[in-house]
Amino acid sequence: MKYLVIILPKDEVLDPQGEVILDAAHSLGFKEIASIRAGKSFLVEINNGEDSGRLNEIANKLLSNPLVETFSIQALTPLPEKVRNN
Amino acid sequence: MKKKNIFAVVTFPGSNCDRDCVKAVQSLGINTESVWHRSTSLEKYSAVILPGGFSYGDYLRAGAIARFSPIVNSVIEYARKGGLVIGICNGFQILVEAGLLPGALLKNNSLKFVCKYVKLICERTNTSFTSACKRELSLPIAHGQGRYYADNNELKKLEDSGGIVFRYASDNENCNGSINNIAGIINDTGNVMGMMPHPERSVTYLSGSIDGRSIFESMINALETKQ
Repeated sequence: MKYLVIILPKDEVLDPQGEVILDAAHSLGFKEIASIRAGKSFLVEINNGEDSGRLNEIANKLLSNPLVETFSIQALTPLPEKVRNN
Repeated sequence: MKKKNIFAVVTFPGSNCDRDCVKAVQSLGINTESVWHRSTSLEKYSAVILPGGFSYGDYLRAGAIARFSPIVNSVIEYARKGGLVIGICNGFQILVEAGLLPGALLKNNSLKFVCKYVKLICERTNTSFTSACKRELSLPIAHGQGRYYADNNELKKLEDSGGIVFRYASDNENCNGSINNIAGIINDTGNVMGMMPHPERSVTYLSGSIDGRSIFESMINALETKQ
């Protein structure tokens, strides 16, 4: 089973990277974009089936810094072969 | 007989200021050894330096992977027993990731890597790392992730307990956007300090300032007083 772990800076933490990307989006004419927060994501595959909650632990201990970042975990439903090959 | 002081400088994969640290302390007449990050033995050392650089390529977050190097558990144990530990630049980032110091070091506000001399105010000269320091110092910085951040509670605790040892001398000198102009902090027990500026890069007149010497001299004084 595969999971997507998404890390984002906490709301109260200044994200200069996101601000610069927002500026670039505005100068490309995407004026409707109100805000962008830059984070990172990890595609994690678990051996032998589903995550037993340990993904939460590793996201807390290693993948994110809980002082300044939040994380969320999405289970990825396997995609049909055709789509995957693309 | 007086115990001979030996400093340890830890080398992580990607450290690049480790040799400068060794030379800086040696220039003050102190035996200094380089210690590989896979080692776990620090018993014979009087002080430990975590140097600057880009351990593990700054992957994930600066210091985040190095924090799980075998030696860091020994550094935590060493600090718990009262040993002197200083983290410089990437070393500071490793100390906060390891939880030996509070807060986090984030990307500079400017998103630029900044490499230049800055003016600092030494807020406390009564620590084992700063007893020989002047109130105003000029030291080089060289980092892309040096914006010190702590939440309001932690910041208040730091301010109230005298945890802030170095500040950039003004908002202009604070070229990374650190909260309250913080450039260096110390733990409650006074034996672990982290700072973004590089004292090891300013120990000879050739490099423009010798203000960095006073930090290593303070550590040596503290060790000699203890004996």
